[in-house]
Amino acid sequence: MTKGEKARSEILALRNRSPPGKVEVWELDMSKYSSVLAFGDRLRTLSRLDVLIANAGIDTNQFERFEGCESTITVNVISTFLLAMLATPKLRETSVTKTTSSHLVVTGSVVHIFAKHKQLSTPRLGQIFATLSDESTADMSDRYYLSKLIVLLGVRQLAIMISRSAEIDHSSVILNCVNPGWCKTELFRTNDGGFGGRIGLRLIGRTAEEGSRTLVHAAVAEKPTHGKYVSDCRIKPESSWVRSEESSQVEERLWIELLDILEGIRPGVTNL
Amino acid sequence: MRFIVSKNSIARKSPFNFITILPLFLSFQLQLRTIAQDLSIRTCKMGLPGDILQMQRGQIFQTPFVPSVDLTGQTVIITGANTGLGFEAAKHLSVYYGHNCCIKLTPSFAGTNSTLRTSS
Repeated sequence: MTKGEKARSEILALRNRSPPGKVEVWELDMSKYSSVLAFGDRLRTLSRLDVLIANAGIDTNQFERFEGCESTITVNVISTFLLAMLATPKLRETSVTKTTSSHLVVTGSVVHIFAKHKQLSTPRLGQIFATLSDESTADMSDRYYLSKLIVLLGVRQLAIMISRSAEIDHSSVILNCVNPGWCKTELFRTNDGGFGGRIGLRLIGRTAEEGSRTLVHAAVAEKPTHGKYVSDCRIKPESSWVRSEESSQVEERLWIELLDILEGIRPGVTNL
Repeated sequence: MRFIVSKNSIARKSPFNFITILPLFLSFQLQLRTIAQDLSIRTCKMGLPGDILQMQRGQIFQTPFVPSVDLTGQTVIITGANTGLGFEAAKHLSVYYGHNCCIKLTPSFAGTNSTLRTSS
């Protein structure tokens, strides 16, 4: 039995309410664009899609390549935004036909405040992702933080795109970037921040259940959360760098580059 | 015997027993909370230290709540739901809003390298 099937049976075992909803397991490998694309095509066959929680991510300190890019960047950033782009048309459609708000939630993290943002502002024009995927210069201890910073910047830009498209068909897709907090999950299995990290997690860490409430909140949050960083079930300011002048230029450069990459994976995917 | 009695009497007279400590402890916590709130307003322009204070405040004092809403008939997709946060969120969404709420779980199997973790 796969992990997914096991999760499904555990969820079904919990529910004794009637009438029961459906729980399905769909296979998705975020390290392969082909898998993400197949998943995107499959969700187009749904009759409706109200909420997508793009939550899958990895944290590793070993350099590895998936699909030509460094693995954390591929999984946490490129595949995540590819999935978001593929799902947006369906979310918009549902929002229009059912006259509701649909939600797109991307799991970010508070650790974006620690990211060494120089890695984004120093590379030459159009070279950010290429530089990050250079094994000789990659700072892997900072990589997870940086990937979550890119996710946050990307969410802000994607929110602008979604708002623009909403003016055309009056759809209401709410996109937000959620911080679940520091949680006792498998994410820190090998990269747990040493002794201090373990003690800290024991003292102030949340259980996965408590952390998951933030995802649930973001998945049903109101319009003001659109394009915002949501933490502890409320809108919070992003890191000081993200709010600075410098970051808005980096954000735009980064977004143009990311759109190029996504267009390279499937032409036309970024036309929302 | 005498020793035990004297020890008990000391304990009874001590101002630091549980009942006196409790309000002190609570008021201390309240003070911490107000200090933290006060700080968060000022921390917005403090750079990284401010960001860290903000983070600590959220992590320690702002326990997330379970929002109440009805998702009847809706379809929800959660990626990375085979473990951790995604799995717990799926449980919440299916149990609390369980009427015909259709949930697709997507376990993401990121590579076979043992250092990689599907997350959360």
